[in-house]
Amino acid sequence: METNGTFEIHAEAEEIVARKDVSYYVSHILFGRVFRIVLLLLFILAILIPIVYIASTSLKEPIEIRVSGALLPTGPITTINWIKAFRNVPLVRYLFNSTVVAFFSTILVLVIAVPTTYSIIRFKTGGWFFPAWILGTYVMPPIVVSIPIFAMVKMVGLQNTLLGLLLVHTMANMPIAVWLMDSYIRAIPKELEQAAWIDGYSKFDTLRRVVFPLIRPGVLATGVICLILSWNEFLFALILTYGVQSNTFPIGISRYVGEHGLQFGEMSAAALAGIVPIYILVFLFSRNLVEGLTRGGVKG
Amino acid sequence: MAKVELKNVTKHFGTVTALKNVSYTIQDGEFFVLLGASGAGKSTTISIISGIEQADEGQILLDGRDITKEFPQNRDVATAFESYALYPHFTVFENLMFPLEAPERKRTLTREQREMRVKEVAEMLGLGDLLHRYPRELSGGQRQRVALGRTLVRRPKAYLLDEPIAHLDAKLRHRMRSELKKIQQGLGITTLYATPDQLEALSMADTVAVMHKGVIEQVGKPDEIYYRPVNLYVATFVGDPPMNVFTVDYHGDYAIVECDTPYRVPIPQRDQAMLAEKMGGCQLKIGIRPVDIRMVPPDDPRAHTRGEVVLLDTLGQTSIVTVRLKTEEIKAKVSSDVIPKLHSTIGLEMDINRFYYFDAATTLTIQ
Repeated sequence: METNGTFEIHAEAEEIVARKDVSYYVSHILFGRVFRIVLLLLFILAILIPIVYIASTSLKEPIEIRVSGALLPTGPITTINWIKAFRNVPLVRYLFNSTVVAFFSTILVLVIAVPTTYSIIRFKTGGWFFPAWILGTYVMPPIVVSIPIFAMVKMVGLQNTLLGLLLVHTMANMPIAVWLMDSYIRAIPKELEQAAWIDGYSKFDTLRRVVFPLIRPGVLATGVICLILSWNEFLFALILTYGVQSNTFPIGISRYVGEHGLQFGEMSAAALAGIVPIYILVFLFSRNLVEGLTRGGVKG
Repeated sequence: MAKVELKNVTKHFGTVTALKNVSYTIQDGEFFVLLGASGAGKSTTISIISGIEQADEGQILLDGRDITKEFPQNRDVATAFESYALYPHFTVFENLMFPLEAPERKRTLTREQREMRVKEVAEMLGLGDLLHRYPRELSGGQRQRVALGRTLVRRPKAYLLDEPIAHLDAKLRHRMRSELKKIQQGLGITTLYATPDQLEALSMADTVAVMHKGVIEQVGKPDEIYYRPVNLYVATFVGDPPMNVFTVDYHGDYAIVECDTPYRVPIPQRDQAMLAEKMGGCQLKIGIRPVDIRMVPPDDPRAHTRGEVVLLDTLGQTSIVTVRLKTEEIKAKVSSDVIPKLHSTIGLEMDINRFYYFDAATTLTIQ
């Protein structure tokens, strides 16, 4: 009787194990890991294919580019496109111009946007209207204001200069920076600032010593986004700069279209040369974009 | 060191009135305790004195100077937040140092003096080994001690402490009570201390203010609050377990407490005279503290009432016996040597000289 009972229990247990095995493989392996990896690969492919295509195009013979649209080079690999890209067009100068404009406009954006956003959130500066208005300017298509902007920049004599363009980029990126900083600043417990006020600090010192260190990841993230936006900006660069001394990289790329016909190979080489610095930069910064720094400060 | 005065302070949050026409004065060097349940307005009071919140009406004076509209930085008060509010990006040492590095104190204290203060306070609060940790690496009780320490490193005009030891474990809390009192007496700094714990209030305070729903119910010395409560709220809030209050039939020289047998509870002569003069025909409630009740056999002639034992809480040496009369329950604090059986019927003898009398309608004490 007793052995029989034990046997039954064993049989039941084995059945449970067996049943669990099948369902385990179906749910955890097939729909779990495999599914996730496939999805991720598709995603990576979608992002990488254009870049791979540009890279391979820059290494193809010009004649091959004209006859074949293959993803990878079928003929001999050549560096002629790279050499011509730098020789025919002052690419280094364009990259330098872009770097200056992107870097300084980003710094300016952050210097203005961080205190602005802090003031809007903590002290309700401008009521509901000011923040709504800032964001509203971002909704407007830039082309609409391109003529007034050109007129204003010309009026102060900054057309065709890097300063003129970087100031316009500062203005253009301000709304997105305020919008991005908003959530980071809101995440800081109010008590921390109040404690600092009582501890003997002014509003500005509180921003500098307590708030800023806590939103630094957000400031970095916002900075990277503004940098990318400025680096890739085309419309304002097109209408405000018209010479080698102030043309930025996106305008420079378009040079390969006009002067020597459509030079796909050189254009690809130049595009890749322009992408690389910003990729490296984002890669370096992404490690610093950690959150959760305010943990442990206040109860609950 | 300063006198803090609140004059008719009122504060609304939306439709909720957090403080209603609050006025009192905290004398120079006084240990003043705000006692009240959560939601009584204690934290709001502290926020308004520290300058985090602005009063809607009324004035706050610090040493005679009107600081009602002053920015917190310029008030020179130190606050320990109930929510700790530690700077997460600083270590414990840096958190404690932060108030001393404020522009004003950096001028007046040398680096050695500042470090000395931090070391002293850290030692006193048992934070010596934790100085290099970050707040996220601390337990709740440790965080609270850092929050308290950040207040104590300063020598402000007034300390404002919002439940500063509420989250410590019982043993440490007990030690901190006397420790804090000693520090405060040593420094002589005016202190406003908010707590829902009546034991803290009675043991630490020079003066206690009992708050309830944004109103100050009573301000007085701890023994005044305990022995001469002005109304039913104060009487039942202060004391553990709370005072027993029951409605009685009052007949001049005796009263009848409702239970299965109508006992006559004699009223002392002096109380009779007082009641005759001040009662004015209202419905009477009588209060008696659990410590002033003794158990007797149910048929004992000394019994003033009787009922069934419905609950026994043994607290070591003493026990709380809950007895159900007809509709009301009465608690007695008795020695654990003689606890009765659960559900047995016992008689209760009250110390008739320790009665409190209340007007049932106005809830005010008749005294």
